[in-house]
Amino acid sequence: MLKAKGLTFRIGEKVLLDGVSFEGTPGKLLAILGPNGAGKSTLIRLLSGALKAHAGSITWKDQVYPGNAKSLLARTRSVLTQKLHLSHPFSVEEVVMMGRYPHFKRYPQGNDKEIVRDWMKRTDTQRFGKRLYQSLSGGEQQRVQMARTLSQITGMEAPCLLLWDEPLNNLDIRYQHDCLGTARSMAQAGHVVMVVMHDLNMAAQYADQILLLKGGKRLSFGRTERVFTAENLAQCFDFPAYVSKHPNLNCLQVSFGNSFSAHPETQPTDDLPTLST
Amino acid sequence: MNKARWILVSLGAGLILVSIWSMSQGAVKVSWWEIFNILGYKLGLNDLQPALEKKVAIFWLIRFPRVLMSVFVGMSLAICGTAMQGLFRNPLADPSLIGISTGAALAAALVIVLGGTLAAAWGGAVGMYVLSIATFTGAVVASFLVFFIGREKGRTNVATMLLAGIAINALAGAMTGLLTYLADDVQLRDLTFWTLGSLGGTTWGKLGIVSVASLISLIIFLNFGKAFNALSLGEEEASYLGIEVERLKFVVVLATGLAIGCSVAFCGVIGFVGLVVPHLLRILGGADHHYLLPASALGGGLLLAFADTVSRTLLAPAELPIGILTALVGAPFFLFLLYQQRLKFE
Repeated sequence: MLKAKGLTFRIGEKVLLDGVSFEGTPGKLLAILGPNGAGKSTLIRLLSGALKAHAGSITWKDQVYPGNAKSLLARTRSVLTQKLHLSHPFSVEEVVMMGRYPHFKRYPQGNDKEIVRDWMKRTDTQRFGKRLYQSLSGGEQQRVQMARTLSQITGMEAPCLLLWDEPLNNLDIRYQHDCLGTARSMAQAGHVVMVVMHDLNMAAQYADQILLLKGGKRLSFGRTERVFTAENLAQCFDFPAYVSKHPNLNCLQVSFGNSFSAHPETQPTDDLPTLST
Repeated sequence: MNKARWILVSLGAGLILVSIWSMSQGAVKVSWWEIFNILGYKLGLNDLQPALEKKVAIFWLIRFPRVLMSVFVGMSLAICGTAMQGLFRNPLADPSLIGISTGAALAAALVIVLGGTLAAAWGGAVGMYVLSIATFTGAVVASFLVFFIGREKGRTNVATMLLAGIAINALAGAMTGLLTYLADDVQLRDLTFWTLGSLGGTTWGKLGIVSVASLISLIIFLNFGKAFNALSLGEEEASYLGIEVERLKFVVVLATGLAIGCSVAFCGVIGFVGLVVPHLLRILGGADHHYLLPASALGGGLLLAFADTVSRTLLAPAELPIGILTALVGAPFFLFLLYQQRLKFE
């Protein structure tokens, strides 16, 4: 549905992305992974149209992307960027309502308010809806921005395009799971959802497909079980990797380590220190 | 009725009251009933009280247009301040601080001193239009300069923006100084008027130009509520919300140039109104530009109508240039804002 072919992007001599091809499919949650400087954020900015590729092409629903239908695109595509900085003191509700701007002319309609209220409830941000955005913690701000990007495409016919650049930043465990759970349910509703992230185990639990990047090149792309092999991950992150079946959940589990990281002299033993009572 | 609406209604009522009060004050006192009597007479609603015949000329030709002028100039300054702060994504952008007003004043100085003979040949009315076109150009050139120098990767570098403003202010100041040196006595008086700012000398003709420019920019800006709100997320983010950012920048710079340019053409440089008014209104009613833009227009008009009344009655019969008054109050306020921001970033 969203097809990227041979995407290349340079700044001066430095090649940030080098011939990356992949496809986002409705119904599948795609996680974009890779070490620092792999080109993940550059890729998201190409996919959102903020940057123009030096070579390669992107098509969305078989049309050249981002194309000229900008107002339609604003209603069917939403982007969550990193390091958002709000320049004026808006309330949380006002920030989430900005997601509905492409849908009304001057004043929000009844269904805009309903959609905003609904997403604020689902991201657990309605409790501080009247507070100033700047007074929130980083994780709370992140959830507000998620509610905004989700409100933006709600009510439009699937497939819409949802691009999230590191949405898990600053979130604690529960909200990390809420976040990716929401991303997956958006995918299951028929949307194309792409998420840049760092936590491989979260990706293993939620993503249907993985795009593994390294040094601006595509290392691997495909179903999670195919991409998450010890060889792929070790090569990608330059560190010995282990992949196993998760003991409790129906997914893979990833860990990294070498002999130095495993406390060689503390062998597992039965005589644990006992507490005197 | 919500809070924002209450503030707007109160500002509107306050603007009307202060305007009428302002019309009543001055060397010749005119009571409120006399004001209504004269206005009614001019509108053809009633006959003039015989006792007022002497006051009509003063009121109708001098005081009434002057008060309206202060309202329109105040509106322009405050709403352009709000728009600049929205565009630069920073609450410290003010037309006089970042060099837009002084750019316009420099253009005015050039026309007065170097184009003096030309303007004399064209006569008063044409000279007036030439002057407004020159200040408009000066304001637009200065805004484009500050805007492009102060931008870095789609963000405003505040330090660079303020420094660019200082540089433009210094350059315009030096060139105005040079022109002062070259000017004859009559021109010198005119130049002082521009650099200090004054609403004295308002005529119906000048009021016509300023009010049209002010209303055009007001109507344009009132339609940008959503755009300025979205822009506070960032330029990229605003474009994802369907805002055409490049077009917006262009229109805002032109509309600001028009409103500021025309007000500088006839009233000189009046600083800090565009900084103080939006800031106070944000504290009172929030940052939503659907509220902030109309509130700034009303609040700016109110503040300048009040300030002008003070400037012409405080040292009566002499007049304190209004630009000096607004700077005396506004500059400490600006320092206070800087201090507050410093605390926030520590």
